[in-house]
Amino acid sequence: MTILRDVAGMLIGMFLADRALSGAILCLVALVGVAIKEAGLQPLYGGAALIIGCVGIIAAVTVREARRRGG
Amino acid sequence: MDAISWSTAGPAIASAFVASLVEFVEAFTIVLAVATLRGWRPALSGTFAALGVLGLMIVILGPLIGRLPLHLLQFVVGVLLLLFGMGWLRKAVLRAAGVLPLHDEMAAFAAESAELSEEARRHHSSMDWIAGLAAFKAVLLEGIEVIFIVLAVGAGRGLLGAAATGALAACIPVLAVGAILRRPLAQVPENTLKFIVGVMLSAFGVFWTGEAFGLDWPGGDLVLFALAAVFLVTGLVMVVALRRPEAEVAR
Repeated sequence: MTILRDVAGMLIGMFLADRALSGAILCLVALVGVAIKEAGLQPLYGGAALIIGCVGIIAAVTVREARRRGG
Repeated sequence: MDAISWSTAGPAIASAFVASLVEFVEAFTIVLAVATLRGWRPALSGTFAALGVLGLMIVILGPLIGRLPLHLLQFVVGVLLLLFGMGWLRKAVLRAAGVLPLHDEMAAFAAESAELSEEARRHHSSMDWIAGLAAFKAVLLEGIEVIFIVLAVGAGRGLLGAAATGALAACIPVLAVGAILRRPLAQVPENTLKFIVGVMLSAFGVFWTGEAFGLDWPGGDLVLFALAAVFLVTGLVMVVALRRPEAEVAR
């Protein structure tokens, strides 16, 4: 059972190690998906929003973590 | 393989190779700790048992993946890659900037050795059994990550064979150098590799998620290089911006 628990813990940790990062990514993907599928946004603009959003997220979460650790 | 297919297969092979290299080094450290304490028999027993379980997982999961609709597969893999790749990139940036300490294979080796001794003392059970189980767990956990990476970079466009080749190729230098040195591979620039993998997996994540939304990327597969460049520049800028004086950036 310990092994199963460890495997489950590792799988969760692989994708959800930082809640803020995971939450922001999922929100971004959901927003872009809704904008393309429901609001008729051109997929190309959706792709641009995806890459710009990812860059913003990675910058925000690293700065936040660095500040949290006294940076 | 023509120039266009290399533009897709190349990043898939390279990503699988570099990411698997990191995982194999981490698994090797634990297996070596087991072998040093109790000999190669429990270490290899645990390793081969884990490889058997991993093989079974591939046999069961492989055909299922082939049955999924392509857009659903691209979407699931793309989102998981964004979560996994950007997580690695975030941690690699923080380590390179000196905010988090670098991963130390010698320290991991010492910690695993101490934990094994403590486990044996507490349970009064066969040390060989505990040691074999430790090797089993290490190889299983790192192996699952390797399988995910191979699936993630290969499944979206029928490149599982290429990605698996990259992952298997990573096994060779780790085993060869490990067999010669017989000590943890502490000289491997693990954080630099994780930085590169984070960049590549994040690029693949954006690429597959976009394709799942019906986006026909300008430049086709070659856009992967541009996406990777965006993440690379972002990561490097973040390292410089957050760098602390004692940071070990060059590793």
